Amino acid sequence: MIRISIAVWALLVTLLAGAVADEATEYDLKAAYLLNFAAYVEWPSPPKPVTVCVYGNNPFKAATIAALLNAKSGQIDAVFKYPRQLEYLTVCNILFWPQSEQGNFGKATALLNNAPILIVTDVQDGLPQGAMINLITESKHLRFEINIGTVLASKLKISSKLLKLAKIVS
Amino acid sequence: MIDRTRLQTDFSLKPAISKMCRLASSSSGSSSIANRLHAILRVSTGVIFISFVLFTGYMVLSKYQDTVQRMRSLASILAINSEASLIFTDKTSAEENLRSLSAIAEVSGAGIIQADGNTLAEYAATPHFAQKLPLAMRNLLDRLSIGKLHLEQPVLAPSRPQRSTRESKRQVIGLLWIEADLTGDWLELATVLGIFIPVMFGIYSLSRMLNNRLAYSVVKPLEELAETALEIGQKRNYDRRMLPHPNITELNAVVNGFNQMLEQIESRDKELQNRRDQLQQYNEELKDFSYIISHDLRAPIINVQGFVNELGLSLEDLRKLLDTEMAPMPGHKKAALLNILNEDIPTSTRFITGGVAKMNQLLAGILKISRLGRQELNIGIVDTQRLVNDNIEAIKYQSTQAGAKIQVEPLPQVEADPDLLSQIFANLLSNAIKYLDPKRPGRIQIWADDQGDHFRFFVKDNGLGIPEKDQKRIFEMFRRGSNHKLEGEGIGLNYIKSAIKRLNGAIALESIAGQGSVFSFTLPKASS
Repeated sequence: MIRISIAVWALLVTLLAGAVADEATEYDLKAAYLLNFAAYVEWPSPPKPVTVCVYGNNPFKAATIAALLNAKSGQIDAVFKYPRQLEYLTVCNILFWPQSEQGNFGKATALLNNAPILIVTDVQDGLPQGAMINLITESKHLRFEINIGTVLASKLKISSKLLKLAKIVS
Repeated sequence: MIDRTRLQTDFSLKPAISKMCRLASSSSGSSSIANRLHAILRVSTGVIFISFVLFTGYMVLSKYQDTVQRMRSLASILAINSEASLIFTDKTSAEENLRSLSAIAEVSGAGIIQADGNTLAEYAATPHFAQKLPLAMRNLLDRLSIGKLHLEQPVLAPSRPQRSTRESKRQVIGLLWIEADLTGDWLELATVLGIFIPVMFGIYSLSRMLNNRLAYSVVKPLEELAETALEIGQKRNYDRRMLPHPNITELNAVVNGFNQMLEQIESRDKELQNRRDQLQQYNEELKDFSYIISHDLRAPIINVQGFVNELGLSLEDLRKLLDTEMAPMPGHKKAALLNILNEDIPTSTRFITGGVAKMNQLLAGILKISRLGRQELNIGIVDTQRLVNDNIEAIKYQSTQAGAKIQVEPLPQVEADPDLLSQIFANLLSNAIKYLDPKRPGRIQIWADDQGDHFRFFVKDNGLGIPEKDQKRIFEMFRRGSNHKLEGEGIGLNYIKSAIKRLNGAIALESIAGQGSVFSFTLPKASS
């Protein structure tokens, strides 16, 4: 049973990896990370499903998102939304702020004001601007930083397993 | 007596004892004390050894199970800790996780494999135990595949804290393997065995040595005791005593008891000897007495006989003298005188003569029996066949007169005094002929049976037989059967009984009145 599950999982990942390998792999990985974060975050009121918002210009390919959701359907119940206005952001549980929207980021975080939304970004210096998780690329490896202070203020709880992998900034 | 002398001269005492012990052990299934002690030692050593093997086996098994259990726990903890690393493909944190295994000595290697089959992280401990082991043992462990323990633990996808997802629904996102090196455990076992087996062997040898000493200190005195007992039994040397064994209480008690018993036997033996000497003396006196009586009484009896004869002659003279002198006597006086001379006096002298003759016969019988006791025996090998044939020849006249047929079967050689034995057969044969039944033809049979250490001779007749009431008394002196019509003074059977007794034998009688008698007697076999 375990072996079969491994085989299925391996197949999916291979497919995904194949898809990612063809084109820009960075945003495919970032999409997977977004979805994986959901497993390690606890909201004050558990969302069902987890709404993952991507603000502004969507850097993710629709096929990647579909494949990911499909692959993680057993574990994570999630939906992707793509709002373009700041007012809609309150429905999000996880918010990804792409680099292309860097200009509005500080405004957005101020607006959200410690709401229990996991704010993830890949903008430069995202953490000081109010991001909780900042995705960075270090020697071709995708890594992430976590701002513990922001997380604590938002009343979200992040699993120690995730914290162990992250670069902690407080 | 003969056997005992031979035993003393032919064999030394020690082989005799060991032979005795062997006989005793083969007959009753018993074994020597030393053997028993050794058997006990072997059994207890065996029990200790088996207990040790079982205990070691149990220890090895429980240690192995413990290791497996610890490795499983470790693997499951590591799998949980590696989950996020796998999800985010974080090689660094995965390797860091695995490095924590360096604290566990047995772990020789570990790895995390991703779902796609690629290795995310690996860990290899520096080999330590395996290097210490000899190559042969390492090869053996490898061949038995007991040197390593390989465990695999699937890494499951995280469950969202908000949702109570059941374990079974969680996806496998990778695999964690741990390899433990068990050579350390085996080395430990080998060390324990390496210490235990020589120690066990040493203890066994030591106890065997102590055992031998104990067996020697117990068995040796017991052998001495048996030797002494045998020697005393053979030589009747009751003044021997055993030396005490002050070191072993029980043996000392046995020796003391043995010595006390010997003292008692010695004193009783002396007492018995005294009594026997006394009895012998009485017996001698009695024999002398009967000899004196029979011998000395005969002289006056012969006197009486002589003077009775003289009296007869005197009577004759008197009768002749009176023949001439009686003529003038009146008729009736003459008749009375003649009656006294020819009837009364001769009748009286006849009675006196008869009585004296009878008394003379009886005294001769007593004298014969008392002489038998004093007579020196001339023991030698006797051919009884020839002896009996000579006797039959000697009484041929009587047997022909009686119309008796005598049948003799082959007879053996015996050790006896030939003259005495000849008298015994002569007496029995003449009795058999004398008491035949005139109404039927007489048949007398003589044969002998081999009865182990002696022969039994039989003299059987089909004569008058002896009534049961007389059978017990028939061997007594001056006793005769109910049939007094025949001559005899009742000495013969008593004499035979005494004679057979002197030849170390015994006489017996079986008889049915009116059918016949069987007299039998035993004689020891000739020794060669």
